[in-house]
Amino acid sequence: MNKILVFFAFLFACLTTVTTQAQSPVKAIAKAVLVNDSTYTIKANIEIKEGWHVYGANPDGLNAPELSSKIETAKFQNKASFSIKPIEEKDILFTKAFVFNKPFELTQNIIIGGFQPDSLQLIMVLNVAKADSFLSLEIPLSVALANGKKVAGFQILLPAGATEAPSDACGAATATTSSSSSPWELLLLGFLGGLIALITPCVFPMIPVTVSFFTKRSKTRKQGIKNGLLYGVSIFLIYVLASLPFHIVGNVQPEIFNSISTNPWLNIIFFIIFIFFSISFFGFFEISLPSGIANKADSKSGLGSLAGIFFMAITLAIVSFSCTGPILGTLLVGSLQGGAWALTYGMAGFGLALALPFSLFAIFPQWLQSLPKSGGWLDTVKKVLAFLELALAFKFLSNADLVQHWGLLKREVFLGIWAIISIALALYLIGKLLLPHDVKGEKISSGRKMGAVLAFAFGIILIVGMAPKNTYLLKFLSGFPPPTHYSVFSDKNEAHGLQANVVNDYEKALQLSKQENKPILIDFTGWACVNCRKMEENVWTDPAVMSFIQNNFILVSLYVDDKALLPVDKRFTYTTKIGDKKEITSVGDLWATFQAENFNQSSQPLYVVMSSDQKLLSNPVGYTPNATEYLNWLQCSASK
Amino acid sequence: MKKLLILFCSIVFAMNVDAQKPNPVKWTFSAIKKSDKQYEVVASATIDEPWHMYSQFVSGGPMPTTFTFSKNPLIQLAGKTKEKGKLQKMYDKNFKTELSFFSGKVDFIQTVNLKVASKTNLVGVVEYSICNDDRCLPPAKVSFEVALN
Repeated sequence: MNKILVFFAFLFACLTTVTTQAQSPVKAIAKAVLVNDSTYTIKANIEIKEGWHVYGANPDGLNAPELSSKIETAKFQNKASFSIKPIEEKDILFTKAFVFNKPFELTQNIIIGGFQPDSLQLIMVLNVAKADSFLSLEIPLSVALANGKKVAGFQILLPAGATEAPSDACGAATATTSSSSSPWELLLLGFLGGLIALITPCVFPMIPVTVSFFTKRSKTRKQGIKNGLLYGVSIFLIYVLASLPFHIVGNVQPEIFNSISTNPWLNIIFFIIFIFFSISFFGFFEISLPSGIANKADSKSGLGSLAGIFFMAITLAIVSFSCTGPILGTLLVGSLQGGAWALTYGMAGFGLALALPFSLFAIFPQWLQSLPKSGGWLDTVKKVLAFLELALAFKFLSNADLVQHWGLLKREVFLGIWAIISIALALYLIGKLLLPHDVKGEKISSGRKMGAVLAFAFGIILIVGMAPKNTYLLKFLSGFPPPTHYSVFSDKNEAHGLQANVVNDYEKALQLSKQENKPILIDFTGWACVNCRKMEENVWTDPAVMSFIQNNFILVSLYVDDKALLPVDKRFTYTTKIGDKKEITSVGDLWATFQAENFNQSSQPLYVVMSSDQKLLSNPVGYTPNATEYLNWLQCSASK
Repeated sequence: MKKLLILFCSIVFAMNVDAQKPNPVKWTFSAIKKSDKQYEVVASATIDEPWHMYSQFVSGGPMPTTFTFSKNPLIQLAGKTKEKGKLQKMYDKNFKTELSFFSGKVDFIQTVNLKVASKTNLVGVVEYSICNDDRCLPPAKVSFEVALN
């Protein structure tokens, strides 16, 4: 009980201290008298509480009451004058000081340049003292201006219902979990890769050889089927197990896969590897793993039936590496962003495609008869792959270039290189371009001729699509070429990352959105926001994300911490939904309030997609370091 | 007793401010009398998990915490505002600068000297910004008035 009493006593004491503070020793009321158009005389009446005195001008730098204006366009014309003269009195600070101890009036002229608000906010600074206290006070004053106009402040609150996300909206209202490509898509991707690997010269001729080896070795058909199946399962397992190290790395550093696609040095390494592979595919040299490894695996394959078959499968994986390597590499890069599991699915698909034919032919050896004979076409497949590898290599170089802003592979340069590669491919297919092991005057099959036409057409589309006005032709390439602004035609500043269409101007973005019939992507950001920079540097630089935003949205960046002052005619006091008064003075005040009031979140980064008629299209998302996940959200938002 | 009362009031006052909006930072302001003419003004920030507040001495990136004291001719600020708390440092490659920040609790301590022994007040504003591993909140300003007596 006693404690409660003490608590209330404290609380009461508190309230009284607060009120005493509010009951300042000085009271001031001010008005502005119009002199002419933009000049006013400020008259402030100051009342002093019994026992206190207000300092007039004193030596030692103690000043008489001073006015200052909250708007920088208002200038005081002269020094303040006072209705009475300060008198000399006994004082706590100086033994004697010049002070006012009776009510007095301060008069000062002010000129307001430009816009005149209907009320002008002033601050009066004065020093007061009594027997045992000295206070320095800042008293806010508000005066009405006769020629002032009411500020038409920014309409902060969006229309009712505008900020309710549709019920089927994408982007979970709470934290989102990863939702990249589905396992089936990745499995299929890997399977396609495996099929391509199958028709390369290192794998295809192995099929009949291996199968006949099984059928001859097995005494009964039953045993042949068993061996064939075991062989297939072994191949499948080998490729799945190859993804195991990535799971271990991923567990130690889960962030690693997110940054892999934008790591410039890794991309450079892939560029070099792919160039190397492509030269090899062209037939300039053979890549083979040290023969020791293959021999060792081969010698083990002589062991007992189960282990022997497994080692035969390893031998196949090793000797075929020169053809499967580039395809596996592509798969690795394509799926790793989704994490180690994505890679495992891809590898499983690849292993399946490679294992199936071996098992099937082992079970049904008669099918071998209908298999096309190995021959010159295999070499053609290999060389076509070489062209594709070469094109892919430049994609990796371009990734690194985009992140580092080297300006090496601007959009046109990149497209030009790809056009040259496809036309070279066309020339090769019709026998005009001779590569190692090619014979002049060879008979050209109709398949090759068709391929040549396709490659040539692709090259032409690339060349035409280089022109800025024809970019729509290349939409089907989505994120592959560098984004449109990364162009030889744009000036240097524009080449730095993704540029917002509009900065700090929502109304302009809304107008653009209507004109171009694209939804608005609002980026609530801050100059001092660490993770906003991370999103700009690591996610927006992802070519697919970058071009998707450029093609589908009006991007507006609103900085909630921008200190720049709003023009005087745009400053106002906003009353929030819960009844707080907020002075909207700076650009940052405006956007921070705009965000908090409409989207009930005040943190950055926050990404919001709105239609041009101001309807929320999806649930806003915050920091999303996974580019694939972010792209999914963008695509889903744009599709509503 | 008086000191206790001031402390208590500052807390109640700070809570009043905070009750209006869920804010991960709670400020309390108090003064410790060192001698007739010397006080330590302490601004304590209690920062909720997992947020952190930047030190006064970061540059080229996040907004440093800044104290602005209104002029009071009686008071002389002695040196810079000191920081007492568990300072964490981390290099940020996007801002290319070292970030130093506090989490949990931090005290900002300003020693002031009075020209004459007298009751007075120190008025000021602290501006700060906080972030967590995912996001940041816009900079916030908190005004304070600490009685020295």
